[in-house]
Amino acid sequence: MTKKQLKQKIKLLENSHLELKESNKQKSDFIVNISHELKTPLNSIIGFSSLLLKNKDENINDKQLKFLQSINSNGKKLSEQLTDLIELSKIEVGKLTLHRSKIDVILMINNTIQLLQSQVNEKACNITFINELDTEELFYTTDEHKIQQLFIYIITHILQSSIISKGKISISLTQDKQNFIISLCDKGIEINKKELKEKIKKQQKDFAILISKNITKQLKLNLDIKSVKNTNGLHTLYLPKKDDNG
Amino acid sequence: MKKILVIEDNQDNADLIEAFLEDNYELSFAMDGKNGLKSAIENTPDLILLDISLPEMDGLEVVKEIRKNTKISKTLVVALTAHAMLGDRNMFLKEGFDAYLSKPIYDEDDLIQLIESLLKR
Repeated sequence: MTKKQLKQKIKLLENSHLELKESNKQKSDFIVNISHELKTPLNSIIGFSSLLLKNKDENINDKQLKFLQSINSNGKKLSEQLTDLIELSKIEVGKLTLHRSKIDVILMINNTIQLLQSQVNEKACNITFINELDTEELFYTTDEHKIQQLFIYIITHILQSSIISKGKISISLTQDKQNFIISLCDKGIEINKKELKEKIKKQQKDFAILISKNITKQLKLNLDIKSVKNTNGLHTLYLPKKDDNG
Repeated sequence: MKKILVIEDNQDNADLIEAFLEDNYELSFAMDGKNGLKSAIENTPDLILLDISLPEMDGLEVVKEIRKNTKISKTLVVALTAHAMLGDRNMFLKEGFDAYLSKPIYDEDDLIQLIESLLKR
């Protein structure tokens, strides 16, 4: 291939790269718009069913209330999924900007646990945090809001995929030479390895996991999900030490 | 009973707000910005719930006109918007709104609480 031909090829590649980038942006914008459109009718479904659930005139029987509850909670679920979809599309086109600051990781984990306590209680789960470092404070430079969101996504995901309640979620904080390591794991479910593998395969398509992976990529962290017997998988988050310039 | 004007172009959303508020307030409705402004001047409501994306005249233009009109310039105006983003809140307050509510509004109690806290000011 001559130098001229090579130059032409490079030009061609550059152009198709730009086209791809543009069409990816268009796709994301489309998803955001359509999700907003879908949310408007959901507003009525959720709002009116909430209103009926109050049973102000006391003329709705228990069975009907149960059906209404189902309409209401599924509507809310759908709405949350649309929010996730919008969020994901925004992350994909890099619309979300990072606000880095020095944060205390240990405090952040404790705050997040507190924030999720009602959800955890609802599932009759138990959540524990074990700090294996020799310190009560761990300062790290990152986006506080995003990293907390990441934790919420992972824990909510574990809670949602738990088949039976009364499970146990344990969070631990350790370190090796290169990283601070936060592991999240749940216990309390009896499933075999094959089932688990399928489950993890399915999880790869899960919104929460997709978003979590996108956020970790943006924050320049690493998230690893391994299959572990009798659990929903071991989620490990690595915070590289060298990246912490704070 | 305090008077509330709801300016919202989506009938279903207007119906929902009506169901939430009808027991506690005297309500009136408009389905676009122009008629909303007209109704505000005629009826002098205590508070206006104003959708942002409206036909004819959008919510931002309506609030500007309200603030210019000496008869209704002090009226409480709450922005209703579906496209809630971080940083939006400050933008709306700067544009002349007294408060900001992101749609969807699911909860009757949240809405009433917000309205009551504004009316008490």
